[in-house]
Amino acid sequence: MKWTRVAIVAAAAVLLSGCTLVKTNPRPISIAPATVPFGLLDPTIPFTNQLTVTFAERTIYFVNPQGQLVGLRRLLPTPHTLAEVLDVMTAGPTSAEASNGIATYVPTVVRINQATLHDGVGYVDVSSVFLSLSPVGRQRAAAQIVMTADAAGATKGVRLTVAQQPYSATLPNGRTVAVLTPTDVSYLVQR
Amino acid sequence: MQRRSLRLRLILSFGFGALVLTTVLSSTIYVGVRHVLQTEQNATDLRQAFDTASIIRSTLSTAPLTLNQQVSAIEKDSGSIVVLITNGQTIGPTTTYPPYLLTPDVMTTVSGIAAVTQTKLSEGAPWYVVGIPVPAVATQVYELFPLTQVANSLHSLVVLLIVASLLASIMGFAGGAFVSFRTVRPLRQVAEAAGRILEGDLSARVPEFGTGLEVSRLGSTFNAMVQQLADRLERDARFASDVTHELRSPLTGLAMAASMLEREKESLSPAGQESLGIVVADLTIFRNLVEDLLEMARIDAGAADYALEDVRAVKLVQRCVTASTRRLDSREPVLSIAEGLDDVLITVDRRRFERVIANLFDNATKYADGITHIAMKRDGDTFVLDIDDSGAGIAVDQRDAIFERFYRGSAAHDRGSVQGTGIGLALVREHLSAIGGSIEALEAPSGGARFRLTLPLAKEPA
Repeated sequence: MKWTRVAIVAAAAVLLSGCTLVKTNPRPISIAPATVPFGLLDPTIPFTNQLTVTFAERTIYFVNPQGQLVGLRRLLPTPHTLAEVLDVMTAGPTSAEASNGIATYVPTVVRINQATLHDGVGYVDVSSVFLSLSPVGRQRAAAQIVMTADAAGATKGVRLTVAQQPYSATLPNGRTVAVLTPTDVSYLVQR
Repeated sequence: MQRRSLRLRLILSFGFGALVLTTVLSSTIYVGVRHVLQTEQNATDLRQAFDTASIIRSTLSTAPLTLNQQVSAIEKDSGSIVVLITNGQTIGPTTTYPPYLLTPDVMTTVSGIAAVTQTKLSEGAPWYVVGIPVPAVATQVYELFPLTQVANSLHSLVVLLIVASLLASIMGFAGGAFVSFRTVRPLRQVAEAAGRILEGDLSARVPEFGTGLEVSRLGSTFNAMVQQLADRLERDARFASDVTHELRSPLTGLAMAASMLEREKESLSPAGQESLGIVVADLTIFRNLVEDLLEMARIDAGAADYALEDVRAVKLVQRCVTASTRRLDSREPVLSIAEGLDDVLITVDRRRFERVIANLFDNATKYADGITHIAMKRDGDTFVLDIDDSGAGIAVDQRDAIFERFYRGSAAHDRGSVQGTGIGLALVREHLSAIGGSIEALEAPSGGARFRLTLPLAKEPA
């Protein structure tokens, strides 16, 4: 009996010493605010004029597996410009979105050189790579830009330039327009 | 309860003692090393997380579009996973991460503007989670650090400590075996010597022990005790021998006088004749007792000279039986002689063998109505003689004791007889033992006692 107890104690000690290699915490351990460096817990950014960054949701259009334009929500620091919104679009879908079949008609090689907004019209200049796309590809890429710009305030349409050169968009019915409106490209948007 | 041997207990004590000690020591080492390794790693990771949060804040406030590149670069450099949550949504490049790490406990605490840490397991792998709220950019920064290296180091340490513990235990068992051998050997020698003394060998001694003061003292004390015992027994034997010798002369005179009176007993009155009969009978018992005591004293003193000779076993037994039946005026027992025994020789002292048979006949006459059957046979190199009586037999627990000196069994008490001296069977055993034989008491098929005598056959002439 005595030896049995000794063996049990020894076995328990061996087991206890090896059962958890790394000591874990059942609950989170709070860090004292005074020990958090760089003023990370401050409500404003130190050494600035009370600067803070807030975020606002914006709709960025991408392409669903059926080839239709679909708006996805993105958090963007405010304030932000039309160019910054379009930059998020050209960055493409996230890896999680891509794994769900979300794609883009605007290749990442196409850069937004300039984007401004006046009286509800967006003035967007893209890099010359845009012209290397097929006619249909250009129609679809332009539609994605127009819908994203519309969500960012360019509700009256977008006037596109390619490398500072005027660009007339061709509609599916063959008509060419200087300002491409959301209505013109609505046929590509998911209903 | 079964008692374990002292040696086994010593070996187990050393072995398990070493195991327990090394286990405790190993556990202490393990806990200490784990604390140091984990504390240092956590401190490094925490500093890294603060740096990451600072970089994220700068990036979001100055160049938010480079956030993904910044986060990817951080993850690549530190091997961690950076998760950014703003307004309940994940921003940045990392949207998937190991499960069970960002628990509601952690996220609630961080959203309450408190930095936290937690070490947790995710699918068996340990992770160190740091959550830092950065209110200036309305973002919670979580950095998840894998603790794989620490776990691997600790695993190696555990294996090393287990191997060391097992080796120490094996050495403990070996040490226990060595110490127990050194400790128990003197005790075993003492037990062997005590056993020899129990069998009557008073010359048995233990060797000088050089294994320690206590054990050495045990040996010397034991030898002194045995020597004292032997001296006392020798003195007692000499005293008994002297007394017996002194009694012999007057006893002889008494016997001669009684013999003379017996020749003239016709001239005595009836009461005188009865008294003379009692005196003669008691003198006979007394003389037998004195003779037996003298014989015993000679045996004890090693002065009993045995005149050994080779004799035909069957004829010797037959002659002894005839002499005893005539002396006791009893009926002749049935003799069963196995075939081929006629020429079998045994080496005995003829006179003492006759005394052995006579004593057995006397014993049977006194306590069991005489000998009824005697069987002789050969068993290998021994001559076996079974002598049965018609008594009530001998109880199992008395079958060894009846050969002790002055032992009087239940039969003697039951009969209320005072005729026996209590040394007749003791002499039988001593005589047989002196010529290499033995005797044991058994149960006869008839229910009486059976005395089985075993004698070695005479050696064939070379």
